[in-house]
Amino acid sequence: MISLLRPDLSRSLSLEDWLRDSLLYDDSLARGRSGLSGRLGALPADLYEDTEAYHALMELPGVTKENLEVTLENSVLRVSGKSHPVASGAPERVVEFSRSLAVPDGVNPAGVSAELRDGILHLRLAKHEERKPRTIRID
Amino acid sequence: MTTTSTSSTTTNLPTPPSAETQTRRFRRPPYEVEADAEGYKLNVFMPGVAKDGVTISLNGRNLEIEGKLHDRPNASWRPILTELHWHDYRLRLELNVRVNEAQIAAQVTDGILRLSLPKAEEAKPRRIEVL
Repeated sequence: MISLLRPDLSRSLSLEDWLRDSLLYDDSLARGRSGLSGRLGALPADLYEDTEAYHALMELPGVTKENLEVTLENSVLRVSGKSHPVASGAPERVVEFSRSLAVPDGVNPAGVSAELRDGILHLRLAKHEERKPRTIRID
Repeated sequence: MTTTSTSSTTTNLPTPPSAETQTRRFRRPPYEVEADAEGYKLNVFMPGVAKDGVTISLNGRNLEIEGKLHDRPNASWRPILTELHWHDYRLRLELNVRVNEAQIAAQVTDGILRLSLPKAEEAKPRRIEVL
């Protein structure tokens, strides 16, 4: 796993450095090498569970729900879509992305809900009743 | 989706523990810059940060941007896969062009901070008439 976390280097950048950075970024996008790297990173995700559900979290800055598709098929959760242009509005700045996650069996397909807020996608996948932990009463 | 709302609580993503209870760690957010004759447009990618979580300060040439996450994964959830890092953001940049501080504009939408930094008048390119 590539860590996106870096210690704060307190590095100062000049505006020229910024420009160089963004030129490099555009270049890598143009060649289609890095996909969303730099823009949305490598589309990392978190997956959690509690007694009721699984929770998948993803970072999707600049993505609106109109540009997002979520499917669940054979226990594979797929999140795909495109980000809208950020600044210039040039069409080539639209970036397509997708990420698939294997989720454990026992998800109720009818019980999937999604919330997209401030660039964070939270998918809640409710467990089937029989998968929920149960306390057995001893009589 | 507009994201200028205040951080209303949701049941699944409780508010983070207070800053006192944990050492503050920061991520350096990705960003991009566009320049034209009038100034610079800076886009800082800070998913999980709403309008009221952003602090921008300009001290001389030093621009500092902090973004506070309004939610973190519930501590009671059992992690299965963890690739994300739930730290607040901090970006420090040194400006080498004077900007018009009074005209700096900022907007936060869908986890992106869009900052407009107009150049100070004396820093703008000037057309020299050849007589």
